[in-house]
Amino acid sequence: MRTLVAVVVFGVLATFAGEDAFAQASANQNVTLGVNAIYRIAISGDPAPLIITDGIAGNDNLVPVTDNSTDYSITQNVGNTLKITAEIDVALASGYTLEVNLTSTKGTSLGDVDISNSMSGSAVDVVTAIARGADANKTIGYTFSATASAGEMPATTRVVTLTLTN
Amino acid sequence: MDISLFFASRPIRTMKLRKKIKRIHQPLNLRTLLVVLVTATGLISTACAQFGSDNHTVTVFVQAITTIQADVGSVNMVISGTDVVAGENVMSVINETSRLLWGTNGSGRKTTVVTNLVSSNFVMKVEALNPTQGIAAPEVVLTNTATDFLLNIGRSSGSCTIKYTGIATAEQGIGSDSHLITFTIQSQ
Repeated sequence: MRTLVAVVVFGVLATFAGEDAFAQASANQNVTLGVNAIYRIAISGDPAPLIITDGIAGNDNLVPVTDNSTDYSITQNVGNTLKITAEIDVALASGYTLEVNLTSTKGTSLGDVDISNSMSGSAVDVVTAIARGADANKTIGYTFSATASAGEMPATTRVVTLTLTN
Repeated sequence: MDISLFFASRPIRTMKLRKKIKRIHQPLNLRTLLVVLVTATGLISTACAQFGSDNHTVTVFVQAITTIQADVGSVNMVISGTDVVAGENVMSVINETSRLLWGTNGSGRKTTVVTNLVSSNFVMKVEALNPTQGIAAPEVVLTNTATDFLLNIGRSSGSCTIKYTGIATAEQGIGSDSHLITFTIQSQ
């Protein structure tokens, strides 16, 4: 009887010992997450036509027109000194001026900046000191002005490029 | 065994038998003795087999067996410009290319997940998708504390897709994290 009890006890112990040993198992996996340098900028669309239709008697400067109907958004994780530059594909003739003004939360807006002659290679800064992060739906303002002495201008299209850069 | 006594105990009535007995009572030659001995041994063995028995105990035992494996050893995830929407600070990337496979014959089991990375730069979330057995725990942020990944997977073999979601903000800048992720089946 004593032997039987011993055998039973051993069996029970062996059962639980075995369960502890094999009830748990693990598997490993290496997972790497990398974040690359990111420069993203997007413009909401095209502004309405800027048409000068009025002037002031006795003043060569016609009444300028503005458009604030578009906006831009940026996301960058590169640094805290990034900037946005603006350029135009074809310069405007003398006597016509196109200015752009970008509002900014993450950077410093330079206000109204003349881009009439800032073609490729001579892009001008419009926002500077942009910190890492995102700025969404910031207004793009255009002001088009002309002098009476410059004469009429037929409908003309220009492509303005905004660039987020170091 | 005394053969002569054996035969003498039987009643004998005919002369023919008496003659036979007389022959038998004659000294037995060696050949006859052997035949008698073999026959007797067979009778005794047969008698013993009918009345003897024995037994022994056969023990069978199925241990708790648990196996688990990820079918892909390494997963690489990169947040690049294509994953980012301009104007959104939060950037993310999702990977669902690997599967977790398991088998267990124990009841009341669950799977946990843990990373060895004590301090990560970016957020990594993990979730079990479409488990063939058990219930997926809610998506969790990986930490170095084990967190439930699958529940109620007892006595089954199964698999699920491992969904990783890497999340970074633009404000965090550039960098990388290398996780050694461990999935463990254990008692629930």
